[in-house]
Amino acid sequence: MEPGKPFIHPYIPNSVPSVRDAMLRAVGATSTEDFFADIPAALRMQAPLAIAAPHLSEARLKRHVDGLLRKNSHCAGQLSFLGGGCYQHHVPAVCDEINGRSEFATAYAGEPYDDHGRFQALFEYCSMMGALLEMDVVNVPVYDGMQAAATAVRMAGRHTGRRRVVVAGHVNPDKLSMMNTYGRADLDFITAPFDPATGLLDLAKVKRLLDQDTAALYVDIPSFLGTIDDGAALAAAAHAVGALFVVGVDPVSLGVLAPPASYGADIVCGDIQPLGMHMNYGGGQGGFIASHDDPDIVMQYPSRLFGIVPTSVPGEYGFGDVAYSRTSFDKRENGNEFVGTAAALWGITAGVYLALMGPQGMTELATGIAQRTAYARQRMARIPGVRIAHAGSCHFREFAVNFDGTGLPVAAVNAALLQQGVFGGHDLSAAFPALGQSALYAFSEVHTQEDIDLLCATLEKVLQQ
Amino acid sequence: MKIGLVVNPWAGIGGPAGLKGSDGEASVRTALAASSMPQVAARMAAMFAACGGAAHAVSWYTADGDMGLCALHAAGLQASAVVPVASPSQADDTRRASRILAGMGMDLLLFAGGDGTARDVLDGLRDAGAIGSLPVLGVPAGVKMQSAVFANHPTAAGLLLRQLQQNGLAVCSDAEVMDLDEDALRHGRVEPRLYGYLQLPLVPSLTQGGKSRAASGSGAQRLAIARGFAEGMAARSLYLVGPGTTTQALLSLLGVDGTLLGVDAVRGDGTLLARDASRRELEDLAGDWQSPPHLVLSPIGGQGLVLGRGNQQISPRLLRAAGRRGLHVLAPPDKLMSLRSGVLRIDSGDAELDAQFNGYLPVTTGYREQTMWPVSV
Amino acid sequence: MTAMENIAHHRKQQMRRYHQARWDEPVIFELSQPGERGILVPEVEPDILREAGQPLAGLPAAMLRQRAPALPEMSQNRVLRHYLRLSQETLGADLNVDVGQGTCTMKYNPKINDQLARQPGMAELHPRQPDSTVQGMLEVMDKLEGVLREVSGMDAVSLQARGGSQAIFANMAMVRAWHESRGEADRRDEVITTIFSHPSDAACAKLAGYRVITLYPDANGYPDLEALKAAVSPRTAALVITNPEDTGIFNSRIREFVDVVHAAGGLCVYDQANANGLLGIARAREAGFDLCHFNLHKTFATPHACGGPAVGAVCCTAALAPFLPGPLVRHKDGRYTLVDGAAQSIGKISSFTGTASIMLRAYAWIMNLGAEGLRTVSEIAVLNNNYMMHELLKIDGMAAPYAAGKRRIEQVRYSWAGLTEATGVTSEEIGLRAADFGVHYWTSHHPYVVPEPATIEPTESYSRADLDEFIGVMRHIAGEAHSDPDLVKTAPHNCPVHRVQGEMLDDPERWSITWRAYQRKLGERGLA
Repeated sequence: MEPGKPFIHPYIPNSVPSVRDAMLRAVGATSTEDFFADIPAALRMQAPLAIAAPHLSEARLKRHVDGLLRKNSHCAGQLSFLGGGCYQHHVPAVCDEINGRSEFATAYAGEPYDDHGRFQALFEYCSMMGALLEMDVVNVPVYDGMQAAATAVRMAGRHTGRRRVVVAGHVNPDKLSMMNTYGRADLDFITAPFDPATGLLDLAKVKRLLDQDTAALYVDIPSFLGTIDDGAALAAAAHAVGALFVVGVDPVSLGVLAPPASYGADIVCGDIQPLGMHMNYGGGQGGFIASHDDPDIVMQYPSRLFGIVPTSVPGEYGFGDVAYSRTSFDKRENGNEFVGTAAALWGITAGVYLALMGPQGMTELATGIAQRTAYARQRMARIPGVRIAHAGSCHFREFAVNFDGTGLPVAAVNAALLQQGVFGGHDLSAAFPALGQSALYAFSEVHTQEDIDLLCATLEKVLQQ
Repeated sequence: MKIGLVVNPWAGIGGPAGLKGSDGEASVRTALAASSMPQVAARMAAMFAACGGAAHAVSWYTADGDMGLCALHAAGLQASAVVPVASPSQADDTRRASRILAGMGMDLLLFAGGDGTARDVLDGLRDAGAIGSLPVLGVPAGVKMQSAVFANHPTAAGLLLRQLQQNGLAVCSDAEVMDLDEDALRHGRVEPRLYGYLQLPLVPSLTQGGKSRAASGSGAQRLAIARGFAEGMAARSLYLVGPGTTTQALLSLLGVDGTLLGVDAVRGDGTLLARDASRRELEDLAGDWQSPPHLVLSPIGGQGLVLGRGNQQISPRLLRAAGRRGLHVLAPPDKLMSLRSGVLRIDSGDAELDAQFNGYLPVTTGYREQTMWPVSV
Repeated sequence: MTAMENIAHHRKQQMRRYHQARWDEPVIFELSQPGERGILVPEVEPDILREAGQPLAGLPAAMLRQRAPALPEMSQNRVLRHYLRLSQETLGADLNVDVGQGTCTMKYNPKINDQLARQPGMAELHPRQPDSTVQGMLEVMDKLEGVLREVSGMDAVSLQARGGSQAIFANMAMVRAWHESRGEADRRDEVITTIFSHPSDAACAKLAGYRVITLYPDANGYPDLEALKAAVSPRTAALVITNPEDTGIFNSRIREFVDVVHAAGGLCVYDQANANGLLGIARAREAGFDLCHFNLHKTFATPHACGGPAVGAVCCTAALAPFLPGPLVRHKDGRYTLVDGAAQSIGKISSFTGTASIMLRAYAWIMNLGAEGLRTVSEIAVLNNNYMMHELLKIDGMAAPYAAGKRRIEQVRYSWAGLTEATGVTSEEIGLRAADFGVHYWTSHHPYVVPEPATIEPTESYSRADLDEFIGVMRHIAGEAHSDPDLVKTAPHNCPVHRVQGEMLDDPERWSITWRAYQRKLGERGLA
């Protein structure tokens, strides 16, 4: 806008000078400066904000941002085998349609009357997750699966009154870091080592770490490395010392893997991003926590829980917050952390996804992923210099590939792959030095046989050079 | 919803005539002679007006005549008169009526009167074994209003009643019933004593209050306060724990069988040293102790007294020995919000000592939660 | 009267005869039809099938799913229809004059920003992609951080937190790390906040291990400076405060508050959830704060989305920058990279770099407005708020407690106590009746310090006519409170459902958090 010319903006209706002036007159003010009279001069900004010149028209704004986005290469244009907590799946068009609806996109804190739809959609999401997990209590989404894990172990701490948490050594290292950040005031974390040869926990070692002061044993199943531990044995070990068995699970895997509740998990958590969310450079994450309907555990949830209730009209459903007085510090209060804006829209989306997929879809999806993963593993094993880190173990969706035999670090392999338009598996060497120069390769239903074969061919080619 | 109604037709007598409280036949005769008309009927009418249509959806049970039935009929309401009363009614009729109604499975006992009436209601509920289970609501109609069981005014009582009928009676908080030494009062000394506790209903919220903080006023809140305080107790220190439900929660947590209305002395490790102790006992204990005593007190709801002259046991000498550092006030937020004057009060009898507590006192309001509350001395 | 006059005459005279969609839509499980499919999954090629064999055969039987999950089975259009109906039963800010959700800042979320964020160049980015492949994304993050540095006056920013509460927690963790670095963490175990600040301030302080001292306002509704002085001690780790508070009153003595706490060796954390009235006007830096945070889904116009996804931006002075969570965005010679957090970093507080798609939307919003635009946002938000206050206070029974005669910033906490005393109708009931006219409002956090509260924040997005409509609804309902209180007390009447009967929700025997729990409990009662 030119200086002296009034600044009228499409997002600010009352920026129209005649309206603005009429409103000022109505309240007896001469300018908007009057409203800031209580702000001491020393706190006032003396100069305009020093930020870049704007693109005031929508057309130029779009051009500007498009230009920035064009500097990105994305997974719809490249072949990607990245995983490690965020996964590329097909996002059904109906999922985008629903989470693009203005009502859902812009609702917030209305009552269960004017926002009945939001409450029902979230209750249904929780219910469908309950069906997938075979548990009666599922929360409204928290920020991401890592936050869910950090919260779940704190819940275990409060429930048992104990401080010690034994964490499997093959969880996402970022997740362990977060558990520490959130839990350090109340919990002590001990890592149970995994066997680098199998990618599985050493049960005997786990048992040695469990004691009467242990609140929880936390394990990701499948692990960060894609391997699958014996959940029932781990549950028994935890329960033997009165600790809770807390399992982090990939919801997509539950099409073929047993729900952790069935092998003894007390609290289950994870990330719903694979259930209908675009990866969004990490913006599609959402966390869930689930448990049985034990009032003591329900009271530990820091997040919202929705319940179905009757209304004053027979046969009509409504919804409301269950045991909202949880936040009134019934138990050791520290517990009930903070309820805030987290990932509700992704919860609704996950509900849409699960409803579209249904039992058959989830089963077929998971089965197909397991099959593609096994196929890829076998094919990659045949590439000279390449070794599958945990060849003897079953994997779901991802596995560690070791490149020590090539004499090349993963960084070099990935740089070479990148030149061929392929995103190789991400580098594990810093976080898991015991695995040497290894990378984590992930597969999903977006990968065709051709894609996997192309990966193998490309790898072979770049490794020969 | 079933509500029992007990009206003290003599409440309010003495006010306009300059008398304080209507207990005692002699006072009543004096007042009648001076032609002070009972004001309670007008108060009841105002209450029912504010309650509106909801009152018709209630099943009313009451005592005969001017102890309840008249007020209900005046408001156009049907009622079952289940307590026969001779006219004129006697002081112990309130107690009797409360006991009978409490035994009939009411959801709420509504009463009109002053502190004396509240005391009689408490006695009646105790007779029926219903103190912890039957919530009460007082329509203020008396002269002495030290107790916390009363709504702020009749309209507020009617409003609360309407909310309860419509939305249910979910949460209750403990409300003090106070007693004044009548003789002292007639000689110009106001010395309220804690008589006991009754349950006062709280209005349930209709909305999600999506960003709610603690819904306070519950036993859970008191337990949280107690837990936090207990964690900070020094094992070898002397704690003099005053009356109240929050302090009693602390004693329970320590495994101590203390009293609700008296002062109990405990060691920080939970050893009970003296139960319902007298001033003398407490002073002796404190005098012999290596370190200064700690006073653990709760303010009276409504009027905010942390320490008053009616509190026989905690003497100025003990308060001086404890000092600011040794004075611990425990109160959930709803109690602080209920303070009519908005401040806490300390009135030990020793004005110079009291002045040391001027300003702000830390008050423990939850688990590891405190506030700073203004004190007026 | 002719047909044309009929319309013209009547339309001028009445309130909006709104009725929300009411579909009486069953819970999705009740719509299930065995065998229906909503979407088909890519088939696995024969070669893969053959080579993979039984990929999970090596697992113990207990680790394999025995029965398919009991999800609904519905064809695609039936799923779509169900959710479209639920969306119609939701009152998003796009559809209503959403000025009633105080502190939430329900401003317009430009659709162009959503459209931009849905492009593959944003949506199909994997967070573990090499930095060289996401230069545009990293540039957006870096530039957004730059704007937030300028808006706050702070030296460093992290966008990793996925919401305001998570950002406040990060700030508290940084406070702790700071004191630890000086060997004072054990001693400093108290955080001071105010009752009108956001509950998350207290809750996050507790989560970080602190005891919390909550100050109540003085008689004028300002944070009580004398109470602060009484509360500050060598145990003080930090002051965490929102300014203006939810009353909309700017604490002009905020610098004194900061100085008192600094003098005692504590840090000052500024919760800037209520920043919408201060862009380009006043900053955290000049008030002396060490840390602050912004809610991008409030001030910076990203969608509320029923409660996220979102971003909480953490900002701090250079002294505290070493404690920021990693990874951090760095810019050198036109190249952008992600580097680990410093050695003293508090660690990760969320996965990857946070909610990147929300960052893009905020960036686009800022780029569309520029410095003059941001300032105009605040000026008009504040004008709208003071205009509404002026008009609403004309309603008998409505008051704006505290700071009598003073202007407010971007929101006001009103009190209907006068109306309640006169009519018995409460603020919650008025809010529910408002839903019958297509608007709503938020009362307040608990406990209600202001009696019968209503917290209203118009933002800059609504026109004078919009504001007048909302004011008209309030005036109308206030009139109904006198003339027809039962109509108000039994509201809402025009919403998708009627009054819920919530007593089940606190009873473990009856509460049902999932459909399966509900079915089970019905069965236990012989009602299924």
